[in-house]
Amino acid sequence: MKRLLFQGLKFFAVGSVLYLLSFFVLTHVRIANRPLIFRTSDYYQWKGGLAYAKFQEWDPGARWDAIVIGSSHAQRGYDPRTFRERGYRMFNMGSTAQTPLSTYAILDHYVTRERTGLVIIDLYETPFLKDGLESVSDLTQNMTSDAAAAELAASLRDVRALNMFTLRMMNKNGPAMYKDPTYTGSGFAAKPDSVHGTIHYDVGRPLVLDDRQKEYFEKCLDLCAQRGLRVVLVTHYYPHQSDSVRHDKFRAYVNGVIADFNAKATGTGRLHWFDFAYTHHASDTDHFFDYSHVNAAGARLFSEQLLDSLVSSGYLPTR
Amino acid sequence: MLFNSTQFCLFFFPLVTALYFLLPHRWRWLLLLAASCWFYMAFVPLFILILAFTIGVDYVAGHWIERSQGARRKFFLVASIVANVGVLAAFKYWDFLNGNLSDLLGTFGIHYHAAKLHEWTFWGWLPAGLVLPIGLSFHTFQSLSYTIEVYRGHQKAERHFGVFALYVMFYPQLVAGPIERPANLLNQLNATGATGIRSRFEYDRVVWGLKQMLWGFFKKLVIADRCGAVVDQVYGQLGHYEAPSLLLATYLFAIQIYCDFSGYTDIALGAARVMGFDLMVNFRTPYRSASISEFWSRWHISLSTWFRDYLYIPLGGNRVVRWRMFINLLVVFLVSGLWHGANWTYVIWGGMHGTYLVLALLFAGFWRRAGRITGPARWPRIKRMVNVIITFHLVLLAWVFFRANTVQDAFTWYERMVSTPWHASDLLGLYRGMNTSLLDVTILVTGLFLFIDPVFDAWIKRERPWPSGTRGHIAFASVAVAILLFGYFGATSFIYFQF
Repeated sequence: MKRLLFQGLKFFAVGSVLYLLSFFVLTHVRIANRPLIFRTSDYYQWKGGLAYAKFQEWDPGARWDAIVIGSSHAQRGYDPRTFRERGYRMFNMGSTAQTPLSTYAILDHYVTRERTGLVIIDLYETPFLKDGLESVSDLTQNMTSDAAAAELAASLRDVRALNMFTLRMMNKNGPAMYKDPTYTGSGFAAKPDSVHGTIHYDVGRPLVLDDRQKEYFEKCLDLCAQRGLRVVLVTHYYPHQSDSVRHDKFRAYVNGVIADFNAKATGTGRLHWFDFAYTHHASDTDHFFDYSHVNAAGARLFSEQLLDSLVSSGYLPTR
Repeated sequence: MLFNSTQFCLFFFPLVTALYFLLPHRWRWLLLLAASCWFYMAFVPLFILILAFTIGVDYVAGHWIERSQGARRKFFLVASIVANVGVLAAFKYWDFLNGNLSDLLGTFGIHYHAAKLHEWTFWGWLPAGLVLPIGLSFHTFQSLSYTIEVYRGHQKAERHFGVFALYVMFYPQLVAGPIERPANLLNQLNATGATGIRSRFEYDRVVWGLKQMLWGFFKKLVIADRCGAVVDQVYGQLGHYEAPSLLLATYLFAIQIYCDFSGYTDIALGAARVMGFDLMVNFRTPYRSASISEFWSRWHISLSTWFRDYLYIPLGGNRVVRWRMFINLLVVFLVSGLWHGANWTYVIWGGMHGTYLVLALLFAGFWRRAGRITGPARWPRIKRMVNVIITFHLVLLAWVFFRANTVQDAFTWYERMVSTPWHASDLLGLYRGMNTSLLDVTILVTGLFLFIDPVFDAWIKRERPWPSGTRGHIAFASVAVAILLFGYFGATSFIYFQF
């Protein structure tokens, strides 16, 4: 047994050296200006884009009236400029395909009670269906905190996360490889286009929520409660032609979580969900740029409606 | 539970192996049986009842066969066969038989409809949406080989019910073989010698097993699943691709299915070896065969020998008149095709192999004479090489039916192979259609594999000594690193699980 352990350690040491050496070569040798590592598998993401710009802009010492967190719905739907016009400082921490698994790591490492008045968690069913790989790949390359990236990679429980984290460390001092022109600051990305042509809305798909995403959603709520962060759940506009039946099923799940949570909570710690999915007057063509995401005009419309609701419900002070 | 899941690699296998060596010998069967139940129930828990039925019937049948004589003895054997084949027919062939019957009767204007398997709920006892139990054909055949061997007097009936259950359920080979014989596995489960359930922790054997598992994971995750992504893309829409892509996808499928199945087998054999069990060798570099008969002595050996021992020989084998032998061969391969799946594509695949063998026997004399006259017989190495290439392409043509989703799809492949042009632009289209740049790396890694596979295979089978010291560590650490860097992850199932 001792021999097995000793030889196992030796094997591990040789393997680690080979792994790092291979990774170094694959990340530093380029063909057509593209590191070879990106040709080996399809889950790697480039450093750069919206998440990169967001985390670079993030000021850990700043105080925010509200922080928005969630998937691309959050990133493209909650306009900090509308908040600013009404006298509130908001930062948008939403990111592409962000699942509750990633939300937890961001909340854990970036959001503190002292500097945050309100945490707005955007709820959209699609991230709850995913394993979280896409978001982890994006955020491990672009988060500023190594600890957060390491925790996020480990939480995926997938060997690919090890590669993503190694890529981050190999490329740590490298520049961003691309910029997203839709980034407008404070974490928000505005798309001016409206829907062109015919959109196909998928309806009748089953809703099979991922167990780990459900677990992490509840962990996010518990973490906020432990830290004394005030939380509100929000769902932004859905096109009227989208799958409302599926959203109803999602609503049943979320309401169950809220009921369980509120059974333990008291006073301002109690959860409330503003579900604007189908209670709006936005146009499926003029206020959306695809089958699901609002454009800049839609984001402004939605942010105004949301602010009215948050102020009237006492989540934000009147200004 | 999938071998290529984190649940198996990080939790199940280390825990079961550690407990196995910590436990006294007399309790190991219980641990392995419990672990095997856990392993199987990780798929669909309810299907353990089917296994329990098979085990119960064959355990009792074994005892009654041993105690009886004459017609009674035969009766119990037939009862065991009927019960086992009945389970297979019900769960695997029900929809196929009814579908074909419905089509046949439909041609005479008779309407016939029977509930499909997934519609069965047994008056609400079972959930709707029932699917084929995983590995059903494998453990049914393994269990059958026990009653047949007891009937033939080659094997004593097993007294210990738990040990017999473990023989059918032994987790490393439960869902995709090798299909073991009682003479090998059951005797190791009762062993008093160095191998089997009483074995001690031996460094060399444990490392051998772990290295074999590692090589199996490499074949599955780096080669098979990578090739599978390209194959799925092309075979998913055969009508969109032209000859170059169709041929490339079929070459890659030949490699995919070999690496998927032999990778599974290596993991199974390695996991068993770590605990001191020697399971049957199932593959011997099959694509190096110089004839179809040699191919079947190197490919899925445990199944081909099963059919030889329990179907071909009882039918008369080659000790009958020539035309009867040809029919025996065709019957065996058609049944083998049907064993793989309830679809005409598999039946045609089996039929093609049977036909190859019959034609080879019919023209054997002609080829011998032609070889002597035209020259190849004087250069045996070149002759063998040519035969290997021809054999591989015959196997490849049959794989088209094995992989195609329908018979119509397979004919589309053949039709497009001759009717579409050979333009490189088609491969470029496939390259772009993959949405990533995986195709070039897949071909590169697969090409490299074809060179190193014989070397590692010889190491794993101990036909060549391991490279020693640091060289050995570098060789196998490179395999581990290749899995990490080039592995196609996402816990995809093994192809043979569906059988």
